Amino acid sequence: MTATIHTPVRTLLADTPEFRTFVGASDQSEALARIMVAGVDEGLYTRPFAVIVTSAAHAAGRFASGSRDYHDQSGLVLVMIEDDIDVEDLEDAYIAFGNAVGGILTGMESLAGTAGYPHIRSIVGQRMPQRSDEDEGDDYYQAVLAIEWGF
Amino acid sequence: MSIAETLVGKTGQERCAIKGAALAARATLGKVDGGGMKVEIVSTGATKFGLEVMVRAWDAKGNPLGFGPKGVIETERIRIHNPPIMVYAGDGKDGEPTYREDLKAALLEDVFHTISICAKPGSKPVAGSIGNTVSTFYPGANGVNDPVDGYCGQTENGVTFSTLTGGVGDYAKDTDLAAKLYLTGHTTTDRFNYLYRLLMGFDTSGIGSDTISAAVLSLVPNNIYDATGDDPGLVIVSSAPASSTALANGDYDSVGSTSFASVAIASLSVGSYHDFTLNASGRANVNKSGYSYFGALLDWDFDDSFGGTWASGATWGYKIRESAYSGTTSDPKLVVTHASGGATVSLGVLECQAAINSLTPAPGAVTASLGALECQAELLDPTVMPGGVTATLDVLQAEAALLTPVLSPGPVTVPLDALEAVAELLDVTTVGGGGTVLLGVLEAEAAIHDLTPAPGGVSVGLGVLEIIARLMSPTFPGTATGPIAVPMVNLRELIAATAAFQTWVGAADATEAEGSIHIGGVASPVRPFLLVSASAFEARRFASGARDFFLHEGAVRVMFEADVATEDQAGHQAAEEAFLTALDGIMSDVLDLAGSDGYMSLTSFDLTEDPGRSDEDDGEDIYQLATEARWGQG
Repeated sequence: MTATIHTPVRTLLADTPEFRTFVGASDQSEALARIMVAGVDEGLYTRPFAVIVTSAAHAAGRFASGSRDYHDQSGLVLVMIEDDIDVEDLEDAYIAFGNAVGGILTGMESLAGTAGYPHIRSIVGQRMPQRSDEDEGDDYYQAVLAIEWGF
Repeated sequence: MSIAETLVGKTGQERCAIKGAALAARATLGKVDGGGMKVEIVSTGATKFGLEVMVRAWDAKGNPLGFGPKGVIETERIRIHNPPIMVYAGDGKDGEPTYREDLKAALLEDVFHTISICAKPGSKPVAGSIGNTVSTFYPGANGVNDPVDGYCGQTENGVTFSTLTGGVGDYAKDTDLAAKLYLTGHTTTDRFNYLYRLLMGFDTSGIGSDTISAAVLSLVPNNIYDATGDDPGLVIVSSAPASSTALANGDYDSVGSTSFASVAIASLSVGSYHDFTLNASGRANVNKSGYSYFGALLDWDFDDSFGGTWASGATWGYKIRESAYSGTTSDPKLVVTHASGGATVSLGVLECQAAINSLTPAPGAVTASLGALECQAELLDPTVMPGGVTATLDVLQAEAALLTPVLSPGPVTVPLDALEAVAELLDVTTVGGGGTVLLGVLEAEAAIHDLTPAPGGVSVGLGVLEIIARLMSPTFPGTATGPIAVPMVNLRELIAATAAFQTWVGAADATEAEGSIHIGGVASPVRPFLLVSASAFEARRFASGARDFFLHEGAVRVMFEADVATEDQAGHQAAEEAFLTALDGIMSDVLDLAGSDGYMSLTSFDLTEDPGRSDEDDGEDIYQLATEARWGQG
């Protein structure tokens, strides 16, 4: 499950209206093209984009009670979001990026657990919105969301 | 040879052109501090009337100052007619002021004063926007006393006040350094001798057919007379001298009876400009195709009623510096903000929506799911946005998609009605309450950007459309939405509302205090200030029976930074105590106010780092400390 969880999470993200707005996609296929899976998709990414990283954290606990006997699985997926920044006004850029990240995560909350999408237990800001080091020669904002899936 | 020497023997227009060319050649581009602000001279250019300067400006705290009627313009165009080249160089041995030729200093002095008149503090200019024309005029632009400035009087010996005000004039002078604008008392009770009035003209023909949105007349008192403490005020009116180059006795009674602006004597000081913002009547008095004449009277003269306490031989009033006064930096000055075009059509909400939707056939256009009025309200009322962002997005996406095609490089032609409609949608100050739609942004923008309304459409530059598109964009920066950005903005509002913080940053109110709290970053902060950023967020599913939703909680990092006061720099204990005492007060006030009506609730507000003082070798002596404010339902 850990090896394949990125697929439903990627679909969930691509179908989140706020993410489509963020990347300027008009449908799922255009949105999927902006979501890379670490270790699977290679190449140079063009911002704005999201990268899904499957964490090694995974638990499968046996749930046994009478006739019910199965393994209850859960795990962690990281979603990194990046966008270039508007250097004209640092505050506007930070708020705009915060708006985008906040919109994406609340959009995912709405879809998660509904038909066709994975159940999410929590979304934590693993790395809150921050600006890249100016000395890198590349100026962008990044945030990382830790998504705990499962029941 | 100095520039002043090259002006000898030249006509007025030649003098303007020579000075403009010299100023343009010697002006230093870039940023400079002065007058409680920072100004960037973006470019300069000589014109036949003098000089044109493109400027940007920031207040003392580094916040950008906007121009134009709504303060949304970032770069302003200032045209200086008959520009000054001399600056004050101290008083001479005889006690009289002396002046020296300094083109750079004279230009900056004029620009700083003009910006202080026309910039909008607390505004939020849109990056890349280029503004109105702000023209400055001085008397004598076309030669000595062309147009003329000076004073006229009624000189009697022991008459009633009404005899002086009702006179036709028997005295005129247009060559003094400072014009008389005063009343003198006789030795007989309630009798008077002299009453003088100031008259001045400006060549404002360069405005042409532009629409005037603002006008400010500035005068410098050379003397103030108020021996009996009766506070004779000053009123600006029109005047109509018979000649443009010389005053005559009979011009005394050519002054108008409508007040354009007024001031009490207490707010005037010798040697400093006082700015009279002209009302609509005053703006209408500006002659866009010729000379504009103004007058100044004592308010007692204007009211035809002596309002003071009579005293034998007393003098009440002023001497006002004329264009003949040495240098130009204290001459009477008229600053007019004007621009071409200007839409006047007011469309209804549905017409707006219809106009926008027919703006252009956008590829893949989204159909708006909300009604026009609902769209209107949500687009224009910022308070609706945090709660209704999801519902609004479709509409905004539709609008953004419709506008996208006009973002291609270069000017394009779009229907005038559509732009007017967009302007009405963007007038954020009038719609939220009752649906009344007034023209706003575009009326200003169209004028600012020299749009020429014409049948079938107007040609507009990319800058205008970018502004409109940016304002219409669903990701329009500056309006916080969602659980990451909103807490930061709410926390700023909470902290700024506390008395302790306002005291710490020296702000008069919460709005001013917000200028010292920066979110995400700031290019050139002015201490003391706070830097706010999101530091934690968690959404945890709460599921119980039919209830299934996410609980949100999070934290906002608040970094405090302040200079160490000079008197505390010698020792660490005093410096740290001063810093922490201020912070204690602020944090205590914040916790007291949090959760009360209109302010966010906090679950905690704690220090996350010990206070740290900068390395003395850095050349700066500052204190920093980080805190974290937690909020949420978890």
